[in-house]
Parts: sequence; structure tokens; C-alpha cells
Amino acid sequence: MKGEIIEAGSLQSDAEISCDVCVIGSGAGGAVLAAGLVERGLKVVMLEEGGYHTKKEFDLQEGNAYPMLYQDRGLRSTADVAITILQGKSVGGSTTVNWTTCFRTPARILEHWRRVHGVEGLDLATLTPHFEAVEERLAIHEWPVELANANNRVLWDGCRKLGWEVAPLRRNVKGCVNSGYCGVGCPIDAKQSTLITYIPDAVERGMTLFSNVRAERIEVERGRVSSIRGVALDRRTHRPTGRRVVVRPKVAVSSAGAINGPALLLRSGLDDNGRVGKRTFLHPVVIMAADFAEPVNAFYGAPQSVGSHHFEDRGPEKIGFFLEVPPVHPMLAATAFAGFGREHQDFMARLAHINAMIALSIDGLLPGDDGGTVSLHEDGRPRIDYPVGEGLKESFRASCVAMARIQLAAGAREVRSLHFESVRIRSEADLPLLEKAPYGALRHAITTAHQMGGCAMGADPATSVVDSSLRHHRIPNLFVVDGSVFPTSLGVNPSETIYALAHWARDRVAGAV
Amino acid sequence: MSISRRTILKYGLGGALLLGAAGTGIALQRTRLRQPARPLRALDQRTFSILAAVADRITPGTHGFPSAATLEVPEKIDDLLSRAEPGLLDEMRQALLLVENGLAGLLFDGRPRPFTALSPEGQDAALRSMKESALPIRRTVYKALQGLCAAVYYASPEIYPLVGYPGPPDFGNLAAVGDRP
Repeated sequence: MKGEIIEAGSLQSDAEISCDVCVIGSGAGGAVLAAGLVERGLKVVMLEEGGYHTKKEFDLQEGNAYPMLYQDRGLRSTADVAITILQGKSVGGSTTVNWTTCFRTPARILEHWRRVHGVEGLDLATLTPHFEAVEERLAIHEWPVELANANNRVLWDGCRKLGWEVAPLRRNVKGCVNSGYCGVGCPIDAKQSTLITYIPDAVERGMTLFSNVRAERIEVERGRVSSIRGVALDRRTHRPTGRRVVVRPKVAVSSAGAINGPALLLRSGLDDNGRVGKRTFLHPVVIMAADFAEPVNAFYGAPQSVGSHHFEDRGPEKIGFFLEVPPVHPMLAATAFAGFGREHQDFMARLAHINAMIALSIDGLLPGDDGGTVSLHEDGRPRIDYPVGEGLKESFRASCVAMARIQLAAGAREVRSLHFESVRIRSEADLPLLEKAPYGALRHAITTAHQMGGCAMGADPATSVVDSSLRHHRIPNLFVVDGSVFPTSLGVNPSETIYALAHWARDRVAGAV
Repeated sequence: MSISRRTILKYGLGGALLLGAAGTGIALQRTRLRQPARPLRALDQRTFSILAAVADRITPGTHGFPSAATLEVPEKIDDLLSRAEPGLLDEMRQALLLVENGLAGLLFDGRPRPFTALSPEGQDAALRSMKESALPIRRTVYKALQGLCAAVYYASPEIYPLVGYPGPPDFGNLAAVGDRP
């Protein structure tokens, strides 16, 4: 029997429902898992805090998209505002707004998890059929370099001139017209987000999805989850309507992501070992902007079609990084460039000629690199703290120098760092200026679109939250299936790892019902 | 953004001093009020006026660009905040009062007057001082306000031609956009 999507903001009375599995969150983890559970004949209820928005509402205007489709109306950041956090909040989660780049989990990361964090049974051979399954459903395939926009060509050309590794990326798109608006909701459903794939798959087979419901607490009685208590939110204001949604499942799954998921567990008092919200990783991003004589028009074209992992392994003492490019739409660019007044106007006036490049630091692999922390504000909102230590500062510095060299090699007239006091580079002779610049929190733009960790999987209940089957160490009918279970960051864009992990987790969760 | 008591404690004496200055100094100062173009939904007139003054310096109406006020940037931010978590709104109010506070200005910039009472040049100097401050919390306040004002201003379609952005493509003409692999 077909299920339904219920917009909870319009509920006229409280809702109470029993089911086999309640999945909290509709993104890369929750959607893939739920589709597999209904395939197995289970009754699934999904709760999603964001709204149900489809291509009809995607007008490609940043001013509408970010408040509609991103966490905290697009204002999510670390507590000190040093790191801007781009994270989706709607049916489909971050898959509705991500830039479509897909990687299988690197073998070296899986091996690190096994060796250092005691993760058992998750090797490449085990995951390969799950990668293959999600790649088929999501149409993940290599994007031809010939279709790369000029923004990506800078990374491609610059790396090749320097003799550095660079490769085409794979994207989850079908019938993509190369418009460049993945980050504000695909207007033609070319992006194979969970919004148009696994969610409709699951609803078609009977899943009930409540949108606009914030899961406030997971109630545990006699050592087992007894209910999920949610509040209905108004579709426009996102404020509680006063209606409540209570789900009584046999098994509960948190797929709320690496920030809201740990926050939910903390609100529920499920942190007996003090590990919930710890070791939160962000792939912290620094950005360089290059000015070219010819237009780059980086607002058009697939946002990411090439990438470089030339610097992913910089030796045992240093944090590695990888390189990609972002779309350069006016609002994103204006917030990343921290100046004001005339300086800011001058920068923005060159927007069509700007190439932007990003370096994503691979956090969590070195001993002592514990990333950040998710805790709670007094009102229950998640609070994210992420100290930028010396290792990361060194990575930022090396990243900025590497990006400047690529941009210069590709023919940039001038390269600018996005420091609060921007460093301007016109040739390699100027690179020492970048070396000497200050790095760290609130010295330059730092962003993240990859949130990981906070409910780490591992063998030791003292140092992790869930075991290697993603089951909570202490509560047998509670699972966590999303990027929060990563013991470290990945060194690649995380969506496909989450898809595949959720696909692998289907039998484990179903077996617990 | 968070300027909770816990955060202030983390930032130590400087942060505590700032918070104290904001608390005690506020009552002594008079903000130059501005009239919003429409009824406010989240901010009060005082914090709206401070925001409007900041926005007009972040994105001034010069060199062919319209002012933030012309684009009703502060009114749009007020609307956005009315749909954000209440805690976020509280933090934004605190940030604005910190910017306005003359005592904090005296301590850090040598300017005893409220931000809204300063000349445009004085306001620029105050913002620059925050941006370059050795105190992280002052840079936090700068970054929060700069980001919000710049985001709302440059999300305005009126600005697109000024930055060479033709705007989103017309999907009635898909063939013009690109190929379809």
C-alpha cells in the first residue's frame, strides 16, 4: 500500500503512531535505509525537521533558497561564527542542496578505522556491492572533462601545468543541463537526490513521512527506546504549532546528521560515556579567489567536475587536504569575502571574472586531532565548537599557497586570499606574503559543507557511541545511520559513503525489529 | 552565532568586560533611530536602527551601488530573523547592542559615542577596528553582521547587473544551457 508525506505543520490534532522502525532524518542515510526497510515489508515512519520542497519552488534565487533549504535559514555556524556551516534542511536533507560530487570511501580510511578505532567488518570488499547499488539508483557517473566550466578548468589546467594530480569527478545526475544551481535545489530534477529517488521509492511502498517535525527526544524505558517525541513546526516560520507527533517504534534510527543527531541524543540524556558530540569533523575549507582577464562566469556550469588529491597525504605529522572548486554566486561570494565598503564592492564588481578554489583539510586522522564538539545551547539548539589548532593552521597555510600556485599557473592576473585583511598575489614571488599571513579562527573565511562524526562507531563502548553494526552500545533498539558514525573525516566528499553505509545497514536494522 | 554567557567566559576577561560594558552602558546612550519601511517582526526599533547603520557601511550606496537602505536590507534581515530560532535572534540583538555601545567603543576605539551617532567615516573606523581586533569576540560580532548584511544585499536581484551576473538561466530554453549527459 502506498504511503504518504504529511506536512505536520497543518496537523489539527496531535498524532501518535506505532511502527516497526522510526527513521529520524531524510537525507543520504535515512532515505536509503528507509527504502530498504519498506522493501523488506516493514512499516516505517520517517520524521524530517525541514519542509517538503520540490522543483516547483526552486527559483534559483539564493535569497529564497538558503532560508528554505538550509539549517538555521542558512545562518548555521560554529559558536564563534568562525566557520560557516552549509547543511541542508528539507526533505532530502543535504542531498537536496549538495554539489553532487560522489566518491567511494577510500580504502586507506577504512583501514584507518579498523586499525585505530576498532571498526570491524567494514572493508572495501564488503562495501563494494553497496556502492554499486547506490551508484545505479543515483546514476553516479564520471562527468566529462569537456563539460567542465571555466572555473573547474582553472583547477584542471593549473594542476596539469604544475604536474600535480587532478582527475574528473563523478556526479549523481541524470539529464543534467550543466546549469550550476545544484546548491539551491535542482530545478529540473536532474540531480538524483534522495528527494526524488529513495524517498519516493519508500513512500511508494508504504512509508509515512512527516515533514516539519523536530524530534525533540528519544524516550528510553527499561533500556529500550519506547518512543520518539516530536513537535510539529509551522511550514513558513518553523516555529512549533503546539501539535505533537509521537512515534512508538520497535526500532529507532537517528539519521539526523552529524550535528542535529548528536544534539538529539544529548537532549534525550543518552550520553552516558560522554562521547556523544565529540570528535566532530568538518573538512574545514579555506578559499582562494583569482581574478582572470577573461570572464570565468563561475556561477554557471556543474559546480564541481574536477578535483585534486595531490596533497591528501603530506606525511605523518601534517594534515592533508584536497582541492575542488565551488560555484560562485553573488551571495556566497559576498559572505566569503570578509571586507566591507568600497573594497568589498570592488571585489564583487569583478565577480564574473573570479575563479574560486577550495581546499578541504582532512581532519581527525592525526593523533590528537579531535576536531570539534556538538553540545547544547540552553534552549536545546545544537552548539558547535571547533577550535582551529596549529596543525590545521599549517594545513590552511599550505592549502592557500598551493591554490595560489595553481591559479597563477592557470593564468590568473591576481590571486586573493579571503583573509579579513586580504593578501594579494600577482606572481610566485609574492607567495611569501601568504606564508606570513595569520591563519586560524576569524582571520579568514572558513566554511564547511561536510559534517561528520559525533556518534562514532567503534569496538570500545568507552570511546564510541555505536558498534560496528551501527547499533547503540547500550540501547539495543537504537541505531545511528548517517555521517555522524564516521570515526574520522573521509578525505573525500562524504555523500556516497553515507548512501552505501545506509544500504549496508538495511539488513542490520531490519534484523533488530 | 552565539554570545552566550558560557562563550563570554571562554573568551575571558576581555569578553566579560565587553558584556559588562554592554549591560551598563546601554542605558546611558541614545541611539539615532531610523524608521523601518514596514512594521518590524523580530527586532525592536533600536536594534533595527543599529542594524540599518551597520548595513549602510557594509554595503554603502556609492560607486553606482544602491545603499543597503534603498534595498531594504535591514527590513529583509528583520524578516529573516523572525523566521529563525528565537535563540539566534537574541544573539543578534546582543551583537547589535555591543556594536552600538559607547563605553565599549571608548575602551577599544577611543570613541565614546554610540555607533549610530558616528559619522560614516567614524562608523567605518569602528567596523575596521572590530574586524582587526585582537579580541576574538569582537571579530565574531563583525563577521556575524558583515555576513548577514552582505548576504542579504547581494542576494537582491537589483545587484546582479552591477556584479556581472545575468541571473539564473531561463529553463524554458534548456538547449541554450548545455548538454545533457
